[in-house]
Amino acid sequence: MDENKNFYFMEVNTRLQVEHPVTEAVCGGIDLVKMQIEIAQNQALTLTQAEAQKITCHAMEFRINAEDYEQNFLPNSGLVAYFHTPNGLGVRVDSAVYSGYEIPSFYDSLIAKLIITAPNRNLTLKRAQRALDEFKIKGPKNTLDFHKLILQNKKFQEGQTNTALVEEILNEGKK
Amino acid sequence: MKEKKYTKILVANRGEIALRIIRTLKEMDIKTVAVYSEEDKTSAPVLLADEALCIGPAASKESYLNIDAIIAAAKITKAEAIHPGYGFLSENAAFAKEVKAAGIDFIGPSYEAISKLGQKAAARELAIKAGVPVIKGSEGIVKENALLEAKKIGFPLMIKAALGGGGRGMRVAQTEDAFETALETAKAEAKIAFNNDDVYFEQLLINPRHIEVQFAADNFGTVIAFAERDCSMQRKNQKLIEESPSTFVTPEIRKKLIA
Repeated sequence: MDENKNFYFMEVNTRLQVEHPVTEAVCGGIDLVKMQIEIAQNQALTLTQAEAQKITCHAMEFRINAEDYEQNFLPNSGLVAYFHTPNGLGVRVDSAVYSGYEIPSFYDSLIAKLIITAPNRNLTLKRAQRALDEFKIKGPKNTLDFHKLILQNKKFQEGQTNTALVEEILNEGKK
Repeated sequence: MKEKKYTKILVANRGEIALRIIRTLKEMDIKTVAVYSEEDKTSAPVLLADEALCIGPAASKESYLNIDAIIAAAKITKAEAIHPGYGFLSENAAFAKEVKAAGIDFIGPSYEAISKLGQKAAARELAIKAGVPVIKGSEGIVKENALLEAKKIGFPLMIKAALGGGGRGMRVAQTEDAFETALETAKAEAKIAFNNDDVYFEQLLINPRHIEVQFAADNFGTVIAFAERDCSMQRKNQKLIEESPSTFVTPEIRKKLIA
């Protein structure tokens, strides 16, 4: 979508997306994996178009990667000595990591998805800040701190995002 | 199409998404089979699934991308379906086809759909035919007069492999001077990745927003589309934060997006 809100087709991903939990949250807690399985079982969709496009809350997903953002997002691996995930209202963590787990170097570096929901965007930002502060990972370098940096960015706070903003925040951090 | 009920599903993935899928299967009273590489023996999905089978060494090529081993694991455990998760074999049409040929259900679109939509140029053609707006670009694959075609669109220009996907075979030519080199690199990369060096051109949007629409279609022709996701917070095509609704999309635009 360009700055004049013209949108153009780019591609279709024919699979479950990493960020599907955002949609699950916004649509009022539906389960997209369950929907996939029901479709495969030749069941008809029960959710209507009107229900599908309903926006019941605001949601954000933060990808926590085992990467060193200060070293050009170099992947890190090894022992996670301590892993404490945030919880509480509006917080979902999808992760297969546990304290004592060894992150292998063979695969992609996504170690957790933090999904925050709240009634509106401002409250989502507040809740995200709170949850990121609660999240503790002892071991490989990860992107928790970079997400905290993003949350401090004025443009991000105001929703002035585009595909160049991450690089902009990175460069600011280096100054 | 007769409705059926699965009793056991194999999850052909690892990490958080394997666990995510296993969780839903448990809630649906469907038995779960995890497959894993030697490296992932003590991973959470392996520990939490009803059954787990080792399918090869650590390297993905020999385990999570090993079609024969995964299908064999499904047969051994008598799983009725395979969920591929994301990444690995999830958008591999050959895998979906072989799974089906083995008498096992692939949870996802048909291999015909995966194959068509997985090829960028073909997907673009489909979008044009369906009346979906596409970025100004070449009319299909550019065989000759490449520079002339490029100039018609203008610079900066995006050169894309026709069979491309996952960011491979894509090159930006910022100016006319950089065009020849970018074209050669894109073609060389496409040749290696897809054994085909066909390319097409698209105008490069400056700092666009990445907006996506999730949809679901059943076997009876019903399709539903969900509110958009804004994935603009990304770096080198790797997403960091996704949110919904987008701060940029107005209700009117949303109507058009979903339509």
